[in-house]
Amino acid sequence: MTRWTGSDQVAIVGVGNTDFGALYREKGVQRSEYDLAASAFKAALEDSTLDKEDIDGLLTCRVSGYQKMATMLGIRRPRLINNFGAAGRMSAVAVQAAIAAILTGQAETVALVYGNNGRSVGATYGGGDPKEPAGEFDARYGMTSPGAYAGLMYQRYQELNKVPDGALSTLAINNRNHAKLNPYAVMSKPLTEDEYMASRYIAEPLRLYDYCLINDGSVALILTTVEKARTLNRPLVTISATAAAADIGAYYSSPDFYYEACRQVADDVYQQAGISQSDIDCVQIYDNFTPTIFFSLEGFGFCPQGTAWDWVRDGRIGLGGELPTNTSGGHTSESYMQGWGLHAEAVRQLRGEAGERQVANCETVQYICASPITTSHILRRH
Amino acid sequence: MSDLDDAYWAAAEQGQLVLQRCDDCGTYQFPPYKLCSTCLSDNVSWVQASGRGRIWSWIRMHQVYYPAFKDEIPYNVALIALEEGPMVMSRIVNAGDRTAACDDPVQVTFQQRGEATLPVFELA
Repeated sequence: MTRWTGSDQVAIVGVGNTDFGALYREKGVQRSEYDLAASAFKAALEDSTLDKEDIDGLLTCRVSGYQKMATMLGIRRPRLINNFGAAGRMSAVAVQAAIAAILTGQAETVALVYGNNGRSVGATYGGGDPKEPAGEFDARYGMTSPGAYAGLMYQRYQELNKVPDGALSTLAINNRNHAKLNPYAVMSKPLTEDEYMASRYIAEPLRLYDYCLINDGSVALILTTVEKARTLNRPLVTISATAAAADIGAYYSSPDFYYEACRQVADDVYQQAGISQSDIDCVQIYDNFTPTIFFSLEGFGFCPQGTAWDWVRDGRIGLGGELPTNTSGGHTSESYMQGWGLHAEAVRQLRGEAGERQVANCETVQYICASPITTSHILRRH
Repeated sequence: MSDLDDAYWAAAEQGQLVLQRCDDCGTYQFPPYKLCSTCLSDNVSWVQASGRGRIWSWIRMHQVYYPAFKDEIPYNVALIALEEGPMVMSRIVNAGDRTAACDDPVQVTFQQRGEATLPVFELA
């Protein structure tokens, strides 16, 4: 199989997002995912210094279709256009589609536009008509919601590795500590271990603070060739490596917690980028539920299998630690933008635009999503 | 709900846990499909399962997602790895004072819930 050898040929030149905290504090407002997405697109375009006419590719995500989005944005005749569904795993998949299109000349400059009005429409991520392969069967037992399937994985992880109750609090608190330094974050109040332990269970062993937020917001990214990026007189951030490996089954509970999929993707991205785990300055890990951070750290070889719960302690994944993780506050404290917000944070860290939460001398950032479509990118600044 | 799904629940009503088995390659599968997901043969038959398995994992659901389960909260849900290979979602009953744990052996039994008969599992 031919591996991608196009390292650093595609750049992320624009990032834009809504102020998640401000939207969250403004209660009782019904927002359209399209309006949200449009404002992020506008911000990303402005950030890139490109003109709208430069955009010849549009990939939308979570909105119900590309047609309305493109109409609203006045993108009349793009060479590339498509829509990706409302799943967290799709953010990196859409970015990979953009990279592939740019590398093969299908488009030169691709806008990726994501809009989420989950709070406005009262999204619950459980109950209702099941869509998973065995969902109709599961519902007969009251089994529903991605968090409950993640809970199954974590219960087994906990028993197999003799993990003490409350080990996930390190992750929830780490996210919150970082969110406190992020002006866009939804949650900025401190979170203590006592508060974490006293919070209610949703799908035991997972507690409230192990769950992603449900909020409105949007993110947009603009990708283009490195040649075009160099003409923009903006900080240059490129994609050094990207890979995916699916782990498909009837349940949103991987038998090995996505370990083999992560191993495969890790081998791919570190080989493509010619670096190893110790070269990563900070990592942005998809955390719809906190246990995915343990699964990701182990699967990508930051620590041995079964040990992440211990490895993360004592500030190791905090700012100033060995591996700052989810520096914007992740999905449990910044915003649930299904991986898109983590992509934006990766770029901002590399540009040195992360304000109080800036990782010093940040040159290499990794994005990881351990899920039925496990993905990772390595991004670099030049 | 497909015809195949109906057949599964109809068997449960008769006190049988059934799985599909491929007549050509012998692989068991769940959930049911028209074809064998392993060799793509169309010759797939229902067979009675042993009813033996192990708890792959379990949770206690505290959140109300389905109103019909509101009065049972918190209730357990367990993912069972059947001896034949497939995994089925279910619940653990009659655990008594014993705490169910991952990899514990279990045996199928049946429980009425509304109009449906559900395959459920007890610690073996």
